[in-house]
Amino acid sequence: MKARILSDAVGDNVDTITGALPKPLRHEHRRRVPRGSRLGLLAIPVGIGIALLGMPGRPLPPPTTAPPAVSIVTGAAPTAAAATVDRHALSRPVDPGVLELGVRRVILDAGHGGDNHGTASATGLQEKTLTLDIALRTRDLIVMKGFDVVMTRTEDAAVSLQERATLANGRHGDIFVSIHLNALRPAAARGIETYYLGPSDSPEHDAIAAVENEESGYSLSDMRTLLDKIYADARRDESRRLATAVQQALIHRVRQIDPDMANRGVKMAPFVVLIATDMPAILAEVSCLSNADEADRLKTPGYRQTLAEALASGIQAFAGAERTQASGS
Amino acid sequence: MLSVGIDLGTSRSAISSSNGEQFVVDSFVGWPADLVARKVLQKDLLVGRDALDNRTMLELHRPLERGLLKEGSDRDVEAARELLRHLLSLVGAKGNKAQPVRAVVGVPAAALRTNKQYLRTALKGVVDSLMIVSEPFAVAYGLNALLHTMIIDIGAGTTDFVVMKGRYPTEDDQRSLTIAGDSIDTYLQKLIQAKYPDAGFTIFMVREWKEKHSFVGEPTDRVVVTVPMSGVPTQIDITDEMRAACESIVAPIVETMLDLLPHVEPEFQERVRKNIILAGGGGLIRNLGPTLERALEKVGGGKIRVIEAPVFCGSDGGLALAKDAQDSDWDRLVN
Ligand SMILES: Nc1ncnc2c1ncn2[C@@H]1O[C@H](COP(=O)(O)OP(=O)(O)OP(=O)(O)O)[C@@H](O)[C@H]1O
Ligand SMILES: [Mg+2]
Ligand SMILES: [Zn+2]
Repeated sequence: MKARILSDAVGDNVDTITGALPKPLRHEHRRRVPRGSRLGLLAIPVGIGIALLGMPGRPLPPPTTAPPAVSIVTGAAPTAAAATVDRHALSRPVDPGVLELGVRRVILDAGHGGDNHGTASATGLQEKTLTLDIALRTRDLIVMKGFDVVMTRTEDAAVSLQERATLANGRHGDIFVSIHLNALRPAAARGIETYYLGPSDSPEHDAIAAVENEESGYSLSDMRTLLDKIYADARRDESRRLATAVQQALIHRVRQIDPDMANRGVKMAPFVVLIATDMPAILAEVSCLSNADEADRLKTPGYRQTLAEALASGIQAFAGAERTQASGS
Repeated sequence: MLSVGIDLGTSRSAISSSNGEQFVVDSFVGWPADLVARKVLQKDLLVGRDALDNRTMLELHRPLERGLLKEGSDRDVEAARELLRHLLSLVGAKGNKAQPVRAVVGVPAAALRTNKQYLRTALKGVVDSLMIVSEPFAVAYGLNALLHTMIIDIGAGTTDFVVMKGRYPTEDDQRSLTIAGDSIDTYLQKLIQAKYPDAGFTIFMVREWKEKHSFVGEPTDRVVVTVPMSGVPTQIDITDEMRAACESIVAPIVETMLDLLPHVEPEFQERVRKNIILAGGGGLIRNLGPTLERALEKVGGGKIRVIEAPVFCGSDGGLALAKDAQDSDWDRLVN
């Protein structure tokens, strides 16, 4: 018995070294509840429940600790940045001042991918395709600003939440920005919201977190237990500031096109990918695919570029504020 | 090859070494606050009691306050590293190729949960191979209390619980409360201040009084201490305040014990109840064991054993782990 305990202690440490997440807390005898009834238990507003039920099912990939194969764009040197993004070759050169930033490396996470389609519009537009497009556009923009960027995926591939977090941690990102599209009820509802990690006090936010956490193997109550224990996460303040900067930029930019865009605000919810990352991390629901007008807009590259510009400027605003703070103290 | 077990505590840190040496230091690290201080102290860094005694001249750090390593605070990381370096130097670890160091470091359970990876990074270069475990687990291992026992480690920053079920403890087997020695100190300070608004004293004095006079239940003697009042040394009676402050941890501890017990297989619950071990400095509060036993009566009674010399309990456990681990294990734990 002693030997087994010892070897488990060693294994636990090796997991830390390789960057694995703690094992899901659920007990072995608990089985995965079918999506419908699980949501029923969570007492989610009926409308949202229906929206979720309408979504394609997602297989649960086996948890793995190996970082996924992704291509990496690095903008550490201004020349490298310009070479990587050749269509911006004629733009103005990178301001060397940014090299002093506290935020150098940005992890961009395009939500979903592969079998995991995310949400979808009535016309069949899929979240995974749009998040990747917006993420790539954002990458191009912030590389030009002198940031280092690591993408959790650059193609339509399934990458588990744990793999995303492992990659982010392994590559020592300074911030983590996950890009998603929302599904809301009623169909007329729309708006922009940005999340950072924390216990939510609203079943509606839980519902959204449940959707984004679906493939992780953790139940929502597991998440609560995890969260209760991480009672003094030092990243929370920074994550909240990052979320605020990004949300503000999104709202500001999108309202130039559509003054009525709803600001759904900065919120807390227990997303797996935010728990598992070591750096300030946010998840932005940049638009709403369940809304027909929004879905139409998302079809146009111009609108996706607008969202990318907003994300980039939010990230830059946060990085700038961090630098001011660091030099001011 | 040197094997060491280290208990990295919020208030005290201890080391036990395979060469037979043992040391304990206060978990404080300080850097001279300015040039004058550096001149006076003639040192760039002070650790332990030394740091505490000269605290007015220092930028003082307690690296694991409230049981967590504050992420993003370089000074805290540095402080943790310096503390560890200091402990290693005390036992004569050279930290060179000739004598590689294998260390098992026990940390408050909360720190283990949230900043494992961070801790490893912070301790890079200080030891050759590193295993980090939760402090109560190290205690359990050292006492060979691996089956049907509950360890309650009442430290300064946290009170950590672990139920040993013959396996490496999972999240379900552990709990951590932030009511512990420090929270008693803060509460006691408040109570005394309210009763004697003119008395001058610091939290450090409060802690000393507590370590000397702590108790729960009926008082056997009055607790009288001397403090300056408007500059004049004056005796004040703090018996009631001492009792109230120490008793503030009883209810949460009982609640947590009762919360953990139902998670034990029914046929073993009684064995666990009869095998509860109080460790950590807070376990020394007079009459605490019997008080907790009384609280267990309504669930069938229990037996509580207090570790009388808790100081090296955790580090000895760490050392036992370090020695028991195989070479092949250590190869996987290079830091
Ligand atoms: N006789 C005593 N009565 C009451 N409290 C005591 C006594 N002796 C020590 N303590 C308290 O115990 C605490 C220190 O215990 P210990 O050394 O186990 O803590 P630690 O390991 O540094 O903290 P933690 O386990 O939270 O990291 C301090 O709050 C100290 O004041
Ligand atoms: Mg301790
Ligand atoms: Zn999504």
